[in-house]
Amino acid sequence: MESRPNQLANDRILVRKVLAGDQRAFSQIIKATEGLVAQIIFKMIANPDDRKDMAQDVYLKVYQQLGRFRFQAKLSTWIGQITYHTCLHHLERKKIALVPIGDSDLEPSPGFSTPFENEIESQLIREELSQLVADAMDQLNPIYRTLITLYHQEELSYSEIGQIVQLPEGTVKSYLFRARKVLKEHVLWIYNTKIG
Amino acid sequence: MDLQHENRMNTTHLTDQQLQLFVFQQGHGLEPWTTHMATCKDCQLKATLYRSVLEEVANLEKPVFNVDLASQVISQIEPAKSRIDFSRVIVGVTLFSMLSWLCIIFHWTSHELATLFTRLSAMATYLILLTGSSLLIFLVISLYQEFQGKMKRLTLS
Repeated sequence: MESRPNQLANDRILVRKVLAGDQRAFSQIIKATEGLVAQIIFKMIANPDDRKDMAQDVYLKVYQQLGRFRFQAKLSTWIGQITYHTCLHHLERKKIALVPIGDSDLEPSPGFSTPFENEIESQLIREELSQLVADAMDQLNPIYRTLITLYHQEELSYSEIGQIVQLPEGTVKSYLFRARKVLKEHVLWIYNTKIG
Repeated sequence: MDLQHENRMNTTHLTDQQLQLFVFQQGHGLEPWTTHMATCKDCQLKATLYRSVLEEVANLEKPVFNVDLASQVISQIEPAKSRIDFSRVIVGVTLFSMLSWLCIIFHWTSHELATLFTRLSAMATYLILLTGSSLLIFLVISLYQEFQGKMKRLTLS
């Protein structure tokens, strides 16, 4: 991974080129950041038809506001921030609930069994855990899903996630604790539903 | 007393938050939990579940757009770009014409300029300066407001 000073220097060069009218530089920015943008959009927006439009909308905003970027964060983080808020705005406009009803409904009941309770089960469960986790992630609310993805899959720091979602680090940490707990409960719930 | 405290630490199960700290933020201050985790099967199981679930999250397939996003976006920003260039050209041409016109006037009237202000009364000079500077100020304000309006439209569009 590139060091932060190098990353910032590269960002400066690219931004300067785009502001001077170099569209190839903007294309480079899109290619370098579309992974992060896709992660946020796919986690926040359920409708596949809206996702592509959303991504284009994000990059048009980035292009229009690039002159205002002051390098207080990495360019990718700033683009992530625009993506997250564009998605939030879209969800609010469509009146889609951001927090699901009844997280607590999934509290494991005393009769619930837990994966990995014995060695043989461990072997079996590891093979299907990937699908269990994917299903459980789909059931999480968009914000929890995004936070978990940014931290555990994109390996961003609390500070970078805080800049993207515009929340203090402490709040990000507490949201992540809650998100992991809910994810674990979803996994347990799906697992117990499957084993009947 | 300390021993009792230690025993209580070892027999009390870790909370969900403590388990997460233990699994995801290895570091200082976790020693009391480490002792408990070494012996408690229940907490070990919960920690394994957390660790395995989040490892799977890290290994999930990353989403990609199945279109060439860069070329689609670039094709949409071309018209906007040319519009900005066009306005810059207009500003440039206007400034150039104004400067050229001033130079021509100065060239034609340079022999009379030296005597122009000495012939005018003080009142007339003040009036000319006041009118000229007022016009200039209004022009600058109007240009600035127009520029701000354009920037606002660009940001909101």
